[in-house]
Amino acid sequence: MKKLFASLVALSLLLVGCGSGSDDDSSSTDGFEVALITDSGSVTDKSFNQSAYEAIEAYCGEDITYKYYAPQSTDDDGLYATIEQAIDNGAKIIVTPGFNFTTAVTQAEADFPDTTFVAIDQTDLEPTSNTISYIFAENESGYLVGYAAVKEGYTKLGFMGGMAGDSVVNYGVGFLQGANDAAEELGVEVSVNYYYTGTYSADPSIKTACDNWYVNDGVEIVFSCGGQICSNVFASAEENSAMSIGVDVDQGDESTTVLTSALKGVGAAVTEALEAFYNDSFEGGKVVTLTGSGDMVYNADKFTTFTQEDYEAILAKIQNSEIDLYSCDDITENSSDPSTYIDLSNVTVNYQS
Amino acid sequence: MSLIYFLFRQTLYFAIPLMIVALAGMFSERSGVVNIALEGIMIFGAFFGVYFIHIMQLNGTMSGMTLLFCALLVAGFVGGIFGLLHAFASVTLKADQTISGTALNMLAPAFGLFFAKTTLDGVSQVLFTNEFRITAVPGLSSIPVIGDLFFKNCYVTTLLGVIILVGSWFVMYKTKFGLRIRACGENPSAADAAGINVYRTRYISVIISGILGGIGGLIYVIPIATEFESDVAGYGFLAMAVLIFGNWKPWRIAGAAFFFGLMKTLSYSYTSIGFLNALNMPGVVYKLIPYVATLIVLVVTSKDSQGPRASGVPYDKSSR
Repeated sequence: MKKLFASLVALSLLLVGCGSGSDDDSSSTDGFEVALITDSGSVTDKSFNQSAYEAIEAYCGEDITYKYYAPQSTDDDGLYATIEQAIDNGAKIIVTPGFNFTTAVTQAEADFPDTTFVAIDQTDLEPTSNTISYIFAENESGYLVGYAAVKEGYTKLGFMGGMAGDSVVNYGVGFLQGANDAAEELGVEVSVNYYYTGTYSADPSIKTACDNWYVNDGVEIVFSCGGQICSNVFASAEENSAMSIGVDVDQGDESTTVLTSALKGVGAAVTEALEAFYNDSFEGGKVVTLTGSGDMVYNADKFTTFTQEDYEAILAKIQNSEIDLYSCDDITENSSDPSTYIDLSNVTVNYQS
Repeated sequence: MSLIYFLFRQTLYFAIPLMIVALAGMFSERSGVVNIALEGIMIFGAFFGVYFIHIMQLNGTMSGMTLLFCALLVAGFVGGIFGLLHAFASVTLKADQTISGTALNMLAPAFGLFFAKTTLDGVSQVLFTNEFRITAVPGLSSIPVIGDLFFKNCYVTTLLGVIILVGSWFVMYKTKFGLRIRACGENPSAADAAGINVYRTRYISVIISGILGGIGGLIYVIPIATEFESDVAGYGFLAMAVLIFGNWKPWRIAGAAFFFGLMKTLSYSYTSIGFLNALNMPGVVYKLIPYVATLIVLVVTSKDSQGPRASGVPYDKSSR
């Protein structure tokens, strides 16, 4: 028994030793001015972390020191501790990508008033004077993928949303409006099956619902818009040899059925914040809705009729705010059916409650 | 007619894994060990099965049916190990079986996420490519009706499910070992007095339960997803409901699983089914269908439903 206890103690010492020793490789330098705290996932996750890190790399180059920190746990305490660690290492500006950081940043921005925080996609955060919060105009990228899909020749679309929260609704109404404008230009009638799954986790019933669209309703392409539900939508698209659209980041390598992905401009937000910070024009305490950053992945090998020029033309229109876009602010009635609050001339919405 | 083929295929996606996992639960419970850990075993088996597929596909070592069978072996093996943990806690240590099961249910997803994140560059989803669907079985698929039902867009795992069902029935009712399992679940003291090693029988039963549960987990995830994030959406618990619904008997379990699968399918494809769509009810009502239907059937049939008498009670030799 004594032996067992002793070996347990030794083991725990070893573990503790490992825990504190792993990130101390920075003590020999003068510190790192720009810090990125990664969310769950690394800087090669093809997601927010990677976009943010690439933007930092591009902006800082050789002139400004930067470093990314991977939290040992991604709960609020773990994230906060990593922020502290970054500040100890001399961070002046800290980039926190993803809504997971909301609580940790709320606490840190009050505790460290001399440090500048850049919050990405944290819709519930109330920024103080040392924080700038970027949220995205998802309706722009939703518009682009809807427009692209119809221009590509699809007339039966589907929208699989997670929960009817702001960003999902933004994607959804943008998708409908883009599809509608393209249908108007082409003079065709388009139908869109529209459904909020009520969850962001994978569930076999989502695949059944999606199979039902593809097989029985003749839907050709589905915009999967909500976390892990993409796994079911992609599986369904593969089974039925149909197409799908990814969301937030380029999901093209998760399934060959992904025609395009609607993106959030994480990189643009980080670059804008760094530019403001190093040009002494930083204004904290505000929430910036990054309009004109709406973007999608143009896969030249997947589009056949929708050309690169078409894409750039419509992208320019979006970026110059030439199109009056609907957003989640337009919801007026107590109904989640988007056709009740937006005007659509050529699109029929089959809303499934 | 194509609608019927569609509904049948969808029903199989739900019913086959539910049935296998419920049969897994049957082995454990008929031997007298409540197995609430089915959810965890499913996650564990599915995780390592998918992980194995991921690695093999990444390196291009294996593909097609060979890969599927090896992955099923892996899933069954780790499921069995996980079952062994449950057996150790509930048979040897005589722990409360519900608590042991709950602990395993909490361990499995956490372990899966941890293992994925540490080995896959911080990503918790394990990607895989579903190359196991058989678009059409040569020859057989051209048989009218039957070909469309069973031999188009099908999976070998469906056949495996049927084999497991028949095998379970055979083991449980036609072999000496099956009789011993049932005896241990009804009256372990009498079984012990008759010279049956209760501990060993329960151990083996729970390990079988783990193996089937792990296989069921992998079969659950392959057709419905492109990646796995240590989550089976509560299907382990649904399988327990199917087990009780099926009255702890193999054929009834199969019937219950198919009934539940069909109801689940209807509730998510009602828009294509004329008479259901014509009712024009809110979507939530349709989603309630499987649960309400199950409740009604249970109310009607549960009069003669009875679980194994010694289920959930750790066997203590000294209390004989």
